[in-house]
Amino acid sequence: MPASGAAEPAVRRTPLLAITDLVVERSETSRPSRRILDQVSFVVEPGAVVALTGPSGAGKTTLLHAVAGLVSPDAGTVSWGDLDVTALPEAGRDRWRRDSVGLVFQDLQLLAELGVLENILLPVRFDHWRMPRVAVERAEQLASRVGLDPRGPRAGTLSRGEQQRLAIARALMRSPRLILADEPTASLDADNSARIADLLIETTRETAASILLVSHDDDLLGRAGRVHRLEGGGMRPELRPGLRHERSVP
Amino acid sequence: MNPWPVVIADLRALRWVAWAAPLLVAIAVALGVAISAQETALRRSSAQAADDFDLLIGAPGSHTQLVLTTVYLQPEAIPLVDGAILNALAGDERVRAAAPIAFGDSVRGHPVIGTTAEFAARWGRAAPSEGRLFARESEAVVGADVGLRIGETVTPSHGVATRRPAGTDGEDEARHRHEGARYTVVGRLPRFGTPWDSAILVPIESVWETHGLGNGHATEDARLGPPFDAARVPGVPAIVVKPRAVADAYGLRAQYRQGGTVAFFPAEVLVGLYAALGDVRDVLVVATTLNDVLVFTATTMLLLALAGLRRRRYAVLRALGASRSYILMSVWLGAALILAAGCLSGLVLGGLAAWLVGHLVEQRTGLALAVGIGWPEVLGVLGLVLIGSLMALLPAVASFRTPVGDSLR
Repeated sequence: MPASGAAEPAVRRTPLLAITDLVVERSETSRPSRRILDQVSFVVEPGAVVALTGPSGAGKTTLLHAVAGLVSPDAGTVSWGDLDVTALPEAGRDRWRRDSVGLVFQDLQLLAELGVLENILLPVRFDHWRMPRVAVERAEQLASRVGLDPRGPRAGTLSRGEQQRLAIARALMRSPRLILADEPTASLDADNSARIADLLIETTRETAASILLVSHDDDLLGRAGRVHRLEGGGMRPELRPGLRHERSVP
Repeated sequence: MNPWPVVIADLRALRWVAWAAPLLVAIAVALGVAISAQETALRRSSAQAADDFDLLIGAPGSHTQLVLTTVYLQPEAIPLVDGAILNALAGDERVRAAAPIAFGDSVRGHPVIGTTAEFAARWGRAAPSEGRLFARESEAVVGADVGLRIGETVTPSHGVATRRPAGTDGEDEARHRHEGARYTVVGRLPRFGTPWDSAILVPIESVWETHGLGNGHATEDARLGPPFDAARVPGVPAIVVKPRAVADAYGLRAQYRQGGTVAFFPAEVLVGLYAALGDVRDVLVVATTLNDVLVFTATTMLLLALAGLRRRRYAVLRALGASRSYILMSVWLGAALILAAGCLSGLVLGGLAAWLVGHLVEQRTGLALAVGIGWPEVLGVLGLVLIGSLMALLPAVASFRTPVGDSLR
């Protein structure tokens, strides 16, 4: 954001996300280190919806974390336009993530003890003591946009579908230009799953953001512009018809 | 940055532990505060109670018992000192005033003390808050806490006083009543905050008369108070002396330490008692400090374990863009709040406990303890808050150092 949460122009520049020869190894006690990602390379064009799929343990979540700068790769780069994210110090990656990335976790990770509005506003609290009025208005709009009452109860009392929508609203709060979503429709019924997919893709389209998501949901995969299959730590391209945010492509 | 939403969420997640942990800390801190406040008040109040007892002269025996019986009116039979000493003191240039003190009777649970009108008025320092001082053998002036009205007439009973609710007679009092002896209450003394507030003060002559010892004077209608007739004055349990000067006080003490009497300053006895009290206090302070250390450590370990259990939550916050310092601040604030709330509640709780104990002590002994939370207690608790804040850094630093990627796995 635009930490203030001010309304963004409808069309804006979203940088190209490029993952190049990414290698992540995991060393475990009394075991030789294991290569989780093995020279993975792909790009997410500005405004594109790119999906990752593959068997459990293939490294999909690790890849998302590496892209977000949460895991330091052993080799390779993640670049965001001209910015080499992997070369940034930790504080720089925190700042980049805060300013440019919206994350949706597979297990949502809402603060169950806080209400709807406080959960959505949480990312703004990281650098604001007093909450700007414009941020509160944006949070209220986002809550309404995802079908929740901004004055709604604590997140822990919401249904799974409502929590999923709340997690998406929180990810969109700072108007990120890159959404990283890990199984955003997991454990939802078909109706709720379709609703979440609509919400995620439409709201990010409105803000001209790129999406990199991990999913096993055929419906959601069907709406991605491109689907990559991750297997054995390596990438298998798999082209599928899907959405592309033509409007936001430079 | 504003860590409060995370702090509030963390505290809410603790549920009852968010109350139980500060309560444990509060109880541990309250013990120390109560002991400190109580001991300070006991020293101050007991010293104030002995203010008008400059020098005590009695028969050989325990100094401590003489002080307890005379100053604090703790009933105990003590040997008598020759009453003729009263005359010697009356003629001594070093003595500004001397007053006999006699015990042994009671009215409705209140001790009856025989003395002079001058000492009843604390050597002229205090005037009756109501009525006047006694001027005849049949008159009495009562302490502030005695539930007798001016003009009321009472009959004393022989024996050791046991306190009862005002206006109630015990069976033992009824059996040992001095028939024929009567006192009419003519005045009430102001509150001294000492056991003397519960006493009934009568002329020393009437106590002697009641026990068949004459009135200490050559004639029946003699004026109350000194000088007494050396040939007729009976023995008394204690004599309070007000010397003219410090040197006189030491001279009198030296003189009456021999020849079948003891003489001492009550302050000497109190200093000895305070030394013993100080030793006990030191033991209690060490015990409560250990107690504080244990409770603080246990609470910190609990918070450390909680921070470990919450490391995924903090990693998610990092993933959402929170800096390390934001996490450090959130965890530290939450932990410090619990410990500080416990310490400050302990200060209040300790003050209440000290007040309650002071109230019980006053009920049992009549010694009003001016219990209050002073700077020593406040500074002690602020020190504990500081220590708690430093200990709260442990879970905060543990969360600060946890790698985000590992915690999100």
